[in-house]
Amino acid sequence: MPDWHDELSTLVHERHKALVGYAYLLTGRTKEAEDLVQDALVKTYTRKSTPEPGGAEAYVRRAILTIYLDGYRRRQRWSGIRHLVGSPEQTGGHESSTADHVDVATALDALTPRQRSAIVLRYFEDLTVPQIAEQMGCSVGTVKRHIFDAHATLQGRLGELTPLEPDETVDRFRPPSPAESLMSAPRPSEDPPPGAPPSPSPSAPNPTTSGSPS
Amino acid sequence: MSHDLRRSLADLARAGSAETTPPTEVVRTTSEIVDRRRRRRPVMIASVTAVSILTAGAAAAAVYSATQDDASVFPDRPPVTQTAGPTPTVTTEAPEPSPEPSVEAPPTEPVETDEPAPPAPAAPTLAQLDPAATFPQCGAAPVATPGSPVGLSLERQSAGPSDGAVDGIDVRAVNRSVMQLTAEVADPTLVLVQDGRVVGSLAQPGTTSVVSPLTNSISMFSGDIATSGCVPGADATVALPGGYYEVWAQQSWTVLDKVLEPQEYLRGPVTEVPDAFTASDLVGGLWVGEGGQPSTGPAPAEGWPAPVEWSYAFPGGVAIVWFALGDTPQEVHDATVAVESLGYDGRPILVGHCPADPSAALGRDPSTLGVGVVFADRASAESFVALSGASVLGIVETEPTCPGG
Repeated sequence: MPDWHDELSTLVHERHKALVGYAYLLTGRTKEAEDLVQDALVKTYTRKSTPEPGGAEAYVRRAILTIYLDGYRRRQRWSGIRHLVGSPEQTGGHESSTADHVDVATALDALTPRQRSAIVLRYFEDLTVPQIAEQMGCSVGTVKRHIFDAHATLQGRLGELTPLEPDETVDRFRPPSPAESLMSAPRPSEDPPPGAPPSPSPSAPNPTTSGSPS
Repeated sequence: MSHDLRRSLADLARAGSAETTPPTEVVRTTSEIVDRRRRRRPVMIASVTAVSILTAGAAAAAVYSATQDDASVFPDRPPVTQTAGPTPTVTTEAPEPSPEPSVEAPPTEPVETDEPAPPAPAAPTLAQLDPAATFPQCGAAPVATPGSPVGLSLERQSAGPSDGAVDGIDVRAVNRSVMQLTAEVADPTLVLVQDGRVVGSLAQPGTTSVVSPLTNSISMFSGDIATSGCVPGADATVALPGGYYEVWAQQSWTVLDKVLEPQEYLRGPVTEVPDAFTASDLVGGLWVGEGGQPSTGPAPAEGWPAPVEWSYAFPGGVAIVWFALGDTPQEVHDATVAVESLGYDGRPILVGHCPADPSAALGRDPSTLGVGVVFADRASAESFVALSGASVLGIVETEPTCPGG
């Protein structure tokens, strides 16, 4: 049996629930979260060089985020037609959840995938803003904007939230350096000043869309 | 009392994962899928590894000429001749065609394959520069569009290619305009470029889709990369000589609607977005082995110090040999290729947090991006510099505990 199989087995037995929990926060549905985790496991262990022992979970978590964000358009298309073929999906686990779970899950559903990812990475994964930017492949300023906008949306639905920390606030602007353009997609215009309206456009579908998902 | 989002999310994650498929079943089904895919695509995975690590995608064509110097410094290693092409921006004056393919095969790792690769032609001849050809046609000079409303780059976490053609390479299109665009967009055309002309291309299926990116947001597309050389005006292909190939992308956008960002987000000039435009960029590179198949690039010479895999490096104390700090895409790209030609990982590294920006230590202006080789300690880093003789910015050691790392 190949070595990767043992590593995969160990990872799944020890960390599957944790990975599904993370994916669940992104997708809001248990079945979809399980599929997402499996896709990420396949992506991780299909690579020529499998992760170093003990390091696989980081790869899988990153793959979960990438697949989630890249697959958004496919889900969006499905969302557009699913009312024609059946009843709306139920959010797994909500029935037995506390009211707080339902409130938070519903509030998360109001976020765009990028906003949702930023919130989950910040408040569940406890990543710093620069780390989130690296994970999401965007600039620090863009992450701050996502957190700022998401925070406003969540606050409108959940009530007062713990205030944003200084490094989460949209507090500065500088034009992106050419080098930054390589790694990220910083705004070409200035970040909004504190207190600016959060959402750029009511018709905006999402900051990230997929052209032709494979 | 304020809502504790951290606690709520932790509770919600637990609730959402309370009832999941048994691990044994997950392992079984996942292993079956992985086994199938590994049997299908042992060779091509290496190519996407090489491609996806190069994220240079802004405005420059690589003109990497330092390898001849490398070869002179390392007489024990075969020279790797890199692309010497036209300038990275829109080409108005075509360079002279190269009479012969100028790539000599670098030392490469054995390519994993289930079946023996077909023998390559003895003397593959790549397409010559054709001034009459239009990019991305075979033989055409590459053209970059730095002023385009959309910039193209490779997705670093790109999906792997499958057997046959390299497909599913993810390309990011960043909306650089100040407008939200709704556009019909064709999947990008990806071509291989060497010595300033297209030498590998694939016919595109012409798949189009409609996207609506906000300012500075990203749309994802998939493209194929050729794994053989093209022949101008013919469907025939030739084997690719070993070496390094640039990957260029081109994509056509037909704008259906555009909405100016709200005033509070506008700080720069409002520039018009044409109803139809084409974006082209250098997006990365591809190493090809002697067998004409994509490879992981040269292997480190024997006896050279082992690097630390940088994904796990920064929480600990390491010594980094910096080749470049991201002043321009060109510098970053050149440094990436230079590092890879030595057999090391040349992926650009985000600096500023983990690792901290080394610019001050090196007497430079602050940076956010760099290219370096990570070693466990200074002795290894110094050994690497001495062996390579490479021109580097310097060695910077990181703190044993990287904040937040």
